[in-house]
Amino acid sequence: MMRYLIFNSIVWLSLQSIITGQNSKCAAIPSFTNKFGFDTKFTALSTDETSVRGLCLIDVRQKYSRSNPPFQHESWDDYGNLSTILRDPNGNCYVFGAPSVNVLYNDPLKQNTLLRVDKDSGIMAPWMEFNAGPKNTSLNPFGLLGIAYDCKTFTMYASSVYHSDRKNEKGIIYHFNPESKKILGQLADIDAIGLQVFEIGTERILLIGKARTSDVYSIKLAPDGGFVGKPKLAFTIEGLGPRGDDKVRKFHIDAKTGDLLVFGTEFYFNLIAPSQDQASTYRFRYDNAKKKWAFIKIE
Amino acid sequence: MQRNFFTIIIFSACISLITGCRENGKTKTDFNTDLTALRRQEVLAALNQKIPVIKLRQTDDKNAEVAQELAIAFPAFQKQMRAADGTPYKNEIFQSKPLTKADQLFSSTPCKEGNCYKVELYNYALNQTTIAIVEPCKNKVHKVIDYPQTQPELPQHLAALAVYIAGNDAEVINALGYKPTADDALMERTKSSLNKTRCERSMHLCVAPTYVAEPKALWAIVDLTDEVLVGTRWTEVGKTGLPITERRLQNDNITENYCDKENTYEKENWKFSFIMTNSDGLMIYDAYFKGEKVLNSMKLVDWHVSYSKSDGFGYSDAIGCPFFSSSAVVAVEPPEFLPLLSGQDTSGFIIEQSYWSEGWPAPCNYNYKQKFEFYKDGSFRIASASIGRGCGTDGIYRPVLRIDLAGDNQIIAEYAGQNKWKTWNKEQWKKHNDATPYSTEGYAYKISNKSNKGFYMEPGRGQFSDGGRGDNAWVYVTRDNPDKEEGHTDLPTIGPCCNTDYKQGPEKFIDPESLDNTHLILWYVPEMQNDDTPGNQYCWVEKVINNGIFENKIYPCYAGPKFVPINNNL
Repeated sequence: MMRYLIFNSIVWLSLQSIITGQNSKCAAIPSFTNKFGFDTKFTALSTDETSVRGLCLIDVRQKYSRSNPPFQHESWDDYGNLSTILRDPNGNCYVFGAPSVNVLYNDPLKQNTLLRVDKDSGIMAPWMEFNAGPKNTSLNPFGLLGIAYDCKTFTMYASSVYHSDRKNEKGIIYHFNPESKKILGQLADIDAIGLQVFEIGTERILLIGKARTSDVYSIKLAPDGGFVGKPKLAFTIEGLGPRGDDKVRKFHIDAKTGDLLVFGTEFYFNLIAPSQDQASTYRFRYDNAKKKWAFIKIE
Repeated sequence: MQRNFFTIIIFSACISLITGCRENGKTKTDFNTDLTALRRQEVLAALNQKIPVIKLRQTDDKNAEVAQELAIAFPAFQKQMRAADGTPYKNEIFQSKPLTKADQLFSSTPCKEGNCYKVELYNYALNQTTIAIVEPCKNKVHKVIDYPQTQPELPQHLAALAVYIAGNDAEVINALGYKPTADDALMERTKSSLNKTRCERSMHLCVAPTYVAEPKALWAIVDLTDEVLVGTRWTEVGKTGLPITERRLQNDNITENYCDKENTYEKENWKFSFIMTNSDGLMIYDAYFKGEKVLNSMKLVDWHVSYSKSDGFGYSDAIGCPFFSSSAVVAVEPPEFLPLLSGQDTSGFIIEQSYWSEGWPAPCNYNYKQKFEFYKDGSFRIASASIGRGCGTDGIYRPVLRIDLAGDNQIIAEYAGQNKWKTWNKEQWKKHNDATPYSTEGYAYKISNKSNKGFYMEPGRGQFSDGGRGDNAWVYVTRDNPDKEEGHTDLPTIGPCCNTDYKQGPEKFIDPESLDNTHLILWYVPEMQNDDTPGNQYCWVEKVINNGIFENKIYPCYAGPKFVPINNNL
């Protein structure tokens, strides 16, 4: 038995119909997959393997161990434990560091950096650094906690809690162009983990899983992906699930039903690594008549 | 015989159903009766039954009783009432009542509204609800469903028990300033005596009797599995905020009172400050004995855990604050002050702090302890222990202790045998083993100033009567460099999990610089080998069932050195 990473991610490369939504529906398969000799039909990118640190390519039919580790490019373990993986329409992949258990491999002062894996070479390298600087690293070892890709505008969102502390919610959600690296907008004073662009009819919103509470907020997005107005409470998972105080770390859209699948985890801005999989999935459905999200069940 | 009994009951029960009898409404808490003693008797009686279950209190609805009996006799309903070895769990029927239209449990049964009953069983040990759909008139159990990690609606007698426990607890009485009656735990606006709450850490059944004292309300979380008060919390009436739960209450208490606040303590000629750090555990600092400063600080920087059967597998854990910290194993309860006993006598006092992984004692979860002993004679000891359970039975635990004794121009000398002491002139480390010489008193080092004031260091060799079997420690001495990040503030993780040699982290601070005319920092890294052999357990925990619920039988492995004043010191 191991301890689980709580910001981990596995992204299947070809079975995109299983996971859709704005984060992945325009995601392309990186060409380095073939270059490294993988059959994309059975391949996934993972930051979730316990036998290696960082990013790896896995053949989903295989079982890996410390003596039989999955494939890693030499740069993929240079930035410690990693988190959510996003891919853009060209096949470039984005990840960021997420310390787990300790900060031996994740320097807290370097956790506000978005990393990009080049679609062709497979080299992982720092791509964008958001506002970092000195801070009390033992109090808050975190930086980025969530990212989302918008396939309509080809822009991205990133949530950083780098400057937050116990009493001050100083998180920022950045809206930026990943190609030009230009910051297009930002929401201040909000600590968030899960981010996802979602469409309801003609309206586009960014769903925001808060890091301090179990609430999910939403904010309207302009056609160019910019923020419109202020975030509003959409729904909460407070009191639901085995723990009742999960924070929302990830969203998926169920392609078959259109339901929103919300992934929760225990999170109190520390480095606790649970020994049980925190895979509580909360199913929500949008009630268009009432303009509200309705909780369906826990899966 | 049993079948006949049921037949008779069923007949009368069906009549009762027609007349629409229902279970009585609320019961009031009787503060003149010792409800906890009665409860203990009730639980023990149930545990000694063939089918270990506390049944419904008396009800006017005979069908409810029949449904209960049918459910209890049904194999699928009783299958988890005992552990695999037959030890009974604490089980209780919370309700037996007619199914309503709203109950979706109808779906795959032939039940029509009113003819079937829902019998809810709660297993306190497993934190599990089991529901049986029963048709009393047909003598039939249609369906049994288990809901792990789920708790049913509380029956009134348990609500009354919770109010009783809260109302008689010193913490509640102190917080309110008076002993509350049962009526005081009534919220006027809601007419409900209890607020819902959760015990997310213990996964126990909890409720919160709430006492309104405008403009505030005191929440008292009661754990009905262990039947104890978890803690209290004042809130402002009318203000919406996060619900008060076990984890939030514990986290808030530690954060506000120990992470964000410096505390001082004075006893037995000792005076010192302490604070919970973000990654170095509880730190004792500015310690004085009889008015003289003897210690700048002592703390625990890292826990390194490696597993010998798996090369390179293990963890490097920090301990400390539960909210906003670099800790992997966090403080949940406040430090405890305990007497330090030597036989029948008290030779000083102890401050002890525990840290838990959420799922402890399940595998791959950890529980660490820090212990600081302060003796009446001016000696003191820093010690730490693991209480398992870790990810295997071959774990080696290596806590990294940092000790900063007060004073300048310090000299450190190691005992070289034959009453001789050998001074260390440069930063260095040494591993202790069976061949290490000790003075007749058990001392291995002498840290003193030019006036020969200071302390002997006495490593643990199993002599401290706390179960410790010897430290086998690495001892490091470094020159104090306040301008460098060498431990004056919280240290990040300084060493990996699994080095089996001196590379535990402190060696990074060894250049080696000269130790002449300087202030020294001592680092002490003991090694404790986990053992689960029956009769020889060490750094270990076992989950046992006691009175129907799980308890932890612990085998701590304390290690750490004692510092004894040099004779002319005080």
